[in-house]
Amino acid sequence: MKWMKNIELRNITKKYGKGENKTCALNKVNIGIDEGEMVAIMGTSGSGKTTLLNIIGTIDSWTEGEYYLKGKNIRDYSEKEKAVLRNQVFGFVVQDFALVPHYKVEKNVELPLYYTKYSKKKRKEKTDHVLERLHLINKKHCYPAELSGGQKQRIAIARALVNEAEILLCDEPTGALDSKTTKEIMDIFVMLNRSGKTIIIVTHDMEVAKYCRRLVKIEDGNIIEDVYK
Amino acid sequence: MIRNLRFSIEAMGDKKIEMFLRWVQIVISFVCLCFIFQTFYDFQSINEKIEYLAGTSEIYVLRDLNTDAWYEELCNNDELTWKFQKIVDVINQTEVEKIVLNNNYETTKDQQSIELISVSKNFFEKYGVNGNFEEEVFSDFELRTLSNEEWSNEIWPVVAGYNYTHSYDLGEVIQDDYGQKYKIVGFLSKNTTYTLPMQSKDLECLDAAFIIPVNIDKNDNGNMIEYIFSCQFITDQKEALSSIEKTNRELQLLDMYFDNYTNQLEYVKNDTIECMVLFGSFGVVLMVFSMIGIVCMIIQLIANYEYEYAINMLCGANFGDIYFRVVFQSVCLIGSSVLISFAFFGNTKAFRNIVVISGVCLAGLFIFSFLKLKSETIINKIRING
Ligand SMILES: Nc1ncnc2c1ncn2[C@@H]1O[C@H](COP(=O)(O)OP(=O)(O)OP(=O)(O)O)[C@@H](O)[C@H]1O
Ligand SMILES: [Mg+2]
Repeated sequence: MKWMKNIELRNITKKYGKGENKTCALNKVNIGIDEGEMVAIMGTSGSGKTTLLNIIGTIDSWTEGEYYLKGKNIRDYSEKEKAVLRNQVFGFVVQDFALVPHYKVEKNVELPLYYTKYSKKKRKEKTDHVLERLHLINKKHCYPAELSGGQKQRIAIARALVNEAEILLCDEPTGALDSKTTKEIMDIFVMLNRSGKTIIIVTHDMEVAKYCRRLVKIEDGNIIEDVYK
Repeated sequence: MIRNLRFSIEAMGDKKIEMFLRWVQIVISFVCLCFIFQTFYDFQSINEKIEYLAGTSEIYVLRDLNTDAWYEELCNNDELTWKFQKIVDVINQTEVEKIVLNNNYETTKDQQSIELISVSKNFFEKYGVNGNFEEEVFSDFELRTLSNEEWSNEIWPVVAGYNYTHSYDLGEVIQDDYGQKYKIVGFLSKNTTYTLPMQSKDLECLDAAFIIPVNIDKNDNGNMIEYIFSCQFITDQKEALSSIEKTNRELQLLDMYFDNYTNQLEYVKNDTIECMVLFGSFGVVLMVFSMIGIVCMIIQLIANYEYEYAINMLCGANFGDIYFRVVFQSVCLIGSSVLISFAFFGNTKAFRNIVVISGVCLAGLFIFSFLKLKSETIINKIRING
């Protein structure tokens, strides 16, 4: 299926709740994202950005429509296969970092590798390598609480990268950071994008969106704008 | 699987102190519970034994009112020997069935305390004491009246407690510190117990005891006195025993009277039942509480680490991986506590209760954690805690 994009959502609808309280978080969303793209998703609060990202990352379900990843229908995937996707294809970076507070930095980063077949030695190697790449090797034995926000976010990125994820899903990755640190983090994303990673960033911040070549705007669960710069 | 196992162990290592404290909590509640149950079953067993013993007809024993000084006098006075012989003869001639049970604690040369019990052969049947031997092996020796020398020239049959099964063979001839020879004719079953006639609230364990046929040394006053007070007479007609009392009175020998042992057993039994109710209800309450405690504790453990689990799932763990970890940790905590209780109590009824209780706890936990982990999506868990 050559015409298909790497990520392809067709008429995806997501409804929360039942009966009267039913909210439609996504309404027949169609979007395709190619390999190596860097996409910013913007929209007001509650417009459905996170929901969209979570559906792409297979950590949330949807009500109607089809989701194809590399031409394969995700509806046919079992829980286990989705876990493998999260392990090998997607890397998640979120606003509050989602680090385990009682794991050391090292273990937080190594976490995805626990669910692979790599040997202990290989795991350490890969962890050190990615930490070095993000200039965090000297923080290896710290706990997350001992790090600054920017450092924590870099740890989260390191974790997303450690198993060579192809697609980074970032939900307001700079939401908790100041503008200087934001720039630092965005530079990392740009660098990663240049090295071939697909990056999808949900953000409120126009500055952040400027780094991306493509901008998608969502309003009340509908895509209202989708432009390449 | 192996990967999961390794990771689960590592995850427990991450929270060593917490795990340890929780483990201590479970161990303590199991051991307490086991102890309570054990006490309950002990009382139950005493009760059963008393019921069995007192079941058929009345039991009479001789109560003794003699002073120590008088005993001294009696034991050392050879002139009185014929009088004791007379009483012993009268006792042995009465038509009434009697059980003889005389227990002595002896200290060996290497300071080990062993219980040496001399009994009539009906002791085993009446007291419900079992093992791999025939009571008949005692028949030849029953109530023989041997002097000291004769006694020591014989090889006596002995039934050994369970503890000796590994140290002696069946048929082996052993010697005590005084050179007396005994032949092992059988062993008692494990955890064999009986109740002492005069202090029936205790359960005496026979695992370390030696049981030999009762002998009467007709030249030894002390030995005969012991024999007289070791007899339990089973009869519904107290008059049948009057000849014994009469002879004693005529001879002006001992200060003693017949007492109805069955009545005393009744009192003890009522006491025991009270204790059973007390310990039983206490046990049930404690059981309910500790089960709730353990289950709540592990539920809390799961809830505490839900965020961690969610992040693991975000990184590629599937439901099975996480469930395995929760199950593994609960099994480790509860399983090892069960093992500790086993070390303390062995494979007893009380311990088997603990096994059942922990099984119920585990089953509850498996179901709970399954539903709990299934019910929430990863993203909700991260949202709630993050
Ligand atoms: N678990 C949920 N249960 C019910 N409704 C939900 C749930 N999650 C999201 N919603 C609803 O779905 C809609 C979209 O939510 P979503 O989190 O995707 O918004 P968002 O665009 O990410 O907002 P924000 O910028 O504030 O993060 C909202 O109206 C929200 O109330
Ligand atoms: Mg959001």
